[in-house]
Amino acid sequence: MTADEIIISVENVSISYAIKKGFLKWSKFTPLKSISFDLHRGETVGIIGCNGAGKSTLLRAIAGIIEPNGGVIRNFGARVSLLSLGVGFMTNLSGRENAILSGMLLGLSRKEITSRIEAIMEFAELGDFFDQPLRTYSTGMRARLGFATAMQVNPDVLLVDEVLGVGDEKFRAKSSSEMKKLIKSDKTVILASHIISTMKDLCDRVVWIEDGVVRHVGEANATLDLYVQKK
Amino acid sequence: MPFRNIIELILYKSYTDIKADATRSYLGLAWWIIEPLLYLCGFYILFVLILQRGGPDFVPFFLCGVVVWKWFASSIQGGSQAISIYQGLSQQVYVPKYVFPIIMVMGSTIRFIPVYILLTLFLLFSGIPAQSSWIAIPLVVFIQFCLIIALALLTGAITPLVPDLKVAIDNGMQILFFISGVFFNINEVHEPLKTYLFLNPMAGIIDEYRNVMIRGLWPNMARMGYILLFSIAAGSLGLAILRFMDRRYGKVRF
Repeated sequence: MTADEIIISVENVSISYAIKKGFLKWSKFTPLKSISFDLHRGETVGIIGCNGAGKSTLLRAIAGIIEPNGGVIRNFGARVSLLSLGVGFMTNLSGRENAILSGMLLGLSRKEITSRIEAIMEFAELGDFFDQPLRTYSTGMRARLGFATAMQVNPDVLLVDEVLGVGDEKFRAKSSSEMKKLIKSDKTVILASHIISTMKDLCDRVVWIEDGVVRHVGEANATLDLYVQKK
Repeated sequence: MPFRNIIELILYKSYTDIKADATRSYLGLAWWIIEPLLYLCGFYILFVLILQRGGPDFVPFFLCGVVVWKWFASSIQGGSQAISIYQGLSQQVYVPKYVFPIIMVMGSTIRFIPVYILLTLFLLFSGIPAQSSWIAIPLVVFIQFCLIIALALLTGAITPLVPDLKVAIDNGMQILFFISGVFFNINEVHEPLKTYLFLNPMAGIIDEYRNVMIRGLWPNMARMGYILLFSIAAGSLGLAILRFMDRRYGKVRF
């Protein structure tokens, strides 16, 4: 296992959606025309681009949720997961049941998620609310439960779409620092964002997407400076 | 996702769906018993009081049909909408799409079990003896389960592609309810209409339940074989579409 080992390779990927225009009339919307880049083990790659550039679509394709229309995404045996808070949460279930359900949807076995429930409980700081139905939670408590659960899913490659810090001020700092700790560790991460300072802090390399193609790819600071200049 | 995890997910999600359902309304799962009883009242008024038909055997005959019909109808309606119900979820994580119709079928199957037990108790109380043909009940239940899973997969696979199908299925269910022999005996219908009516697998299933539970007859194996083959064909087609569309449903936008 070397530092240069490629674990995901995105090759000429294009993705288009069909949009209904009228009765039996369709038009094609192609946010991604031809995207190529490699992801090496242990690095953090940022994806930058304006709203609607297709960042989330690209992450969903890498996570295997949707299939590219053209090109291929080669995965060399990595477990990839899109960081999502509160996947499958149901308001009538307790925090504990929601955490188990969410963990299973994120790919863990029942045994794995049950063994991590204590850690979730502790991190989410919900106290007695943990066994109360979710409908009694505040928005912040819900976010804390979602974050604590998502942190327990430990994929090889983590895809992050603009979630850095949730909940109230105190928990925001805690979740944000936890997120940064995770990203700065040896974990392989793809981070889609348009907050320049965060990306400079966290990313090794940055892929700049514009008009459906890769405008520039390279070392984080240099690419981000170029992005700011051109904007 | 390993296959074991998928099975665990289906079971846990079915459990949580039922739990959520039970806490959502005041009467919760009791609606599964109330609804057939309401149907019974309506048809009792129509057939026994107004048309003066049916006779004393009508109530067990009708209940036997309507209870298994309810299992079928709610499974297919749930299964056909499963992909769109879980659309938000499947934009966030990858879950094999066949899981969703199966979750819906599991949910209605678990709700069906207590209702079926009540039906059996009712038949005993209304003077129908526990007969040796009751041994065949699990076989009829199994064949119906195959049919339900197959049609839930097939309708579940196609409905997201043709949203109008949701309305068509709701209406189709109404028509099927009237021609499946829930409240009349297809065996008394004249030929060739009778043969055509029995092409509908649900008509065959309902008749088989009455054969084994009420009439004390063994199931007609040729008919059961036909329904099983029908299920295998429909289910395979459904699975094939679901597999082909697995990572494409997320791109269908309306």
